[in-house]
Amino acid sequence: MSDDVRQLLQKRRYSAAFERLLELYGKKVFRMAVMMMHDAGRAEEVTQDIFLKLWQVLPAYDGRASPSTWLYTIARNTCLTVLRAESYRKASSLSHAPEPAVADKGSLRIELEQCLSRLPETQREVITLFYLEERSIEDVAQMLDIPEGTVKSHLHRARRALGEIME
Amino acid sequence: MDCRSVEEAILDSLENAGTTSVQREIDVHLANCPACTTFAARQQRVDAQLSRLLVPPELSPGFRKALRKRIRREAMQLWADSLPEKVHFLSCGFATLMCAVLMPFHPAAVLSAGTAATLVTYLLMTAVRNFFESAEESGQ
Repeated sequence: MSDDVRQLLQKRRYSAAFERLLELYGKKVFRMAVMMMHDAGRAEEVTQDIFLKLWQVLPAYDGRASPSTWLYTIARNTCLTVLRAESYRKASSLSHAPEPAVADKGSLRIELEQCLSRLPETQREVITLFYLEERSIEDVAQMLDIPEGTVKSHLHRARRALGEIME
Repeated sequence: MDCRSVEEAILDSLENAGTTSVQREIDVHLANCPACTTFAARQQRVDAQLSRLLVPPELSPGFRKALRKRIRREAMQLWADSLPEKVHFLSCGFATLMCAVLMPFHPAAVLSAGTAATLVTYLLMTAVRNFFESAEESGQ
């Protein structure tokens, strides 16, 4: 899938490459942002920032990483920058009440979110992305830039832990 | 297969269907091991709940339109940012050429003087712009 994007970039057809990346990875990047931001509205704004940044740096693509890995790195870094800036703002303003992780969802979903929140960060990321990505270990590994075997082992540990917590 | 291997095989089977022989081994083990049977049932419940409750969010229908609008705005901004330089170099180049053609001096001398004047005025323009930008930043 990334090969045609790579070819377009080599031919310096940046607009076409951008459109293809948006089509292929727009939803996935958004899901990653939702998982990191815990807020769909904010995640959509950040997804716009990510693709705007991609549009700006596309001519600088050097072909070392695959376009999708490159895009996920931009996405992850952008989310982390936004999260850091927001946590700084929240720390400086005591009156700002933290938003709930999940709003307007059923009680079961809230319970599940509570169980998930008790998992270590990486396990939570892996399990959430795995189910949001509709079960693709390959995609999750690419998004988090970790080997597929590591994704599997985090997934197994997370499921074992969730099994205990949910009982 | 011992209990630990069966547990791993059960967890694996939730990601992708294992081979029939592995499934048979799991079934044989489960028939004689209540602890692993409980584990399998619990893991299936966890998997079902996660599949049911973690619904992939969708981008709003206006996402692409809004993104294109931002990109257009950004492109305009980039063009506008470099506009003073473009206007400066074009107008100085045109004036130098006109002087070289119309003035009663050697064209090479006029072109050299014109190039020097263009560079000096460009440096002055950049210095003035930097001054105003830093004044604006310190005022914020």
